[in-house]
Amino acid sequence: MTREPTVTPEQAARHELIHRLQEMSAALQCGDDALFSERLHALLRRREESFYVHIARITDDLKKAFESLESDQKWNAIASELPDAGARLEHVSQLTEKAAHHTLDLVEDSQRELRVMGESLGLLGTLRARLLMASAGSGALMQLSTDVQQLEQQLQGHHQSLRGKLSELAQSQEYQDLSGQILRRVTHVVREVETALLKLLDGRQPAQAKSSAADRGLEGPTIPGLGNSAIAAGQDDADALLAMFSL
Amino acid sequence: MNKNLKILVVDDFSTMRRIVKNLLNELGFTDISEADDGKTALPMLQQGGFEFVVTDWNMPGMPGIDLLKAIRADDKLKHLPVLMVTAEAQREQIIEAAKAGVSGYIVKPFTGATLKEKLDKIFERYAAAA
Repeated sequence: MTREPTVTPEQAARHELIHRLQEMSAALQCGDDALFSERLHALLRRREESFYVHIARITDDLKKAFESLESDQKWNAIASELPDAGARLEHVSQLTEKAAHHTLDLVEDSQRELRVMGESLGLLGTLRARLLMASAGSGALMQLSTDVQQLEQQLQGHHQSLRGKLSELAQSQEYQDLSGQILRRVTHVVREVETALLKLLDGRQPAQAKSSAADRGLEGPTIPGLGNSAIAAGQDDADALLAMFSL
Repeated sequence: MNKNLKILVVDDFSTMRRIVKNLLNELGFTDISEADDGKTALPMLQQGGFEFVVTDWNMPGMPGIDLLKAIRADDKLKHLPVLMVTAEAQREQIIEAAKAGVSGYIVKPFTGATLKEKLDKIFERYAAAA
C-alpha cells in the first residue's frame, strides 16, 4: 500500500496560490471583474498580514531586549560610574596642565638667572682683559690672567650646556599637549556613551546601582568635587580635622 | 632674519603656547602674542601688525586649517607666513595644508632645532620672493 506523500506548509501555500490565480484568470476570461477584484484584494490582504506579523515579531523581540537591558544591573552600574570616569579624566588633564606650567615657571626663572650669569661672565672677561693689560712684566699676574681665562671658558661651557638643557626641559613639557588632546577625545567618547546609555535606560537614575558603585568606587585618589563631598580639600583642612582629635 | 617680528602663537593648550614662545625667545624673537583658538586669533590678525603666525591644527572653535584658509582669503593677511605646529601627521592633512597655502609644517613632538630650521626656510623663501 503506497503512502500519500506529505505536503509541507510551503507546498500547501503554493497550491492555494496557484488555485487563487487560476480563479482570477478564469474570472478575467469570463469578464467577471467583481470576482477578479475580490480575489486580488484577498491576495494583497494576505501579503499585508504576513508583513505586519513579521513587524510585530521584531517589535516584540526589541521590547524584550530593552527590558533585558533595563533589568540588567550591570548597565545601570556602568551608567552611574560614567560621570565619575569623565570627571576623573578631566581632572588628570588639569593636573598635568598645572604640573607642566609649574615646570615652565621654574624653567623661565632659571633662564632669567642664567642670563644674569651670562652677563657676569661677560664682565669677568672684561676684568680678565684689564688684568692682562696690567700684568705686563709680571709673570705671576700673567699666570693669574691665564688661569682666570681657563675658568671663564669652563663657565661659558657650563652656561651653554645649562641653557640647552633648560630649553630641552621646557620642550619636554609638550607631553601635556599631546596627552591632553588624547584625554580630551577619550572624555568626549565617555560623555557620548554616558548620554546614549542613559537615553537607552530611559533616563532613570538607578538608585540601587549608585549605592553599589559608591561602595565599590572607582580606583584612585580622592578627586575634589567627586563622590563623597565631606573630604578635606587640602593640608590645612586635614590638619584642622586632626586637631579635633588632638593630633 | 629680522628678530623684531611680531608673532602670533595660536594653540588651545596653554602649555604648548608657552613652549613655542619659550623656543622663539631662545631664538631671539621677543614680540610674541598668544591666542587660544583660530576664532580669537583671526580678529587679532585683522587688527593688523602681525608678521608671522604659528598655529596648531586641532582647536575647538576654529581649527588651524580653517584659520589658514581665512588668512589666505583675506587680502590684508594673505601674505602672512603661517607655520603649522601640530600632532596631525596624516598624509591627507599635510597635503590639505600645503594646498591651503601653509608656509611650513612641523609635526609634534618637535625640537627647537626643527623649529629654527623651518623658520629659516620660511624666511629664505620670503626673502627670495621679495
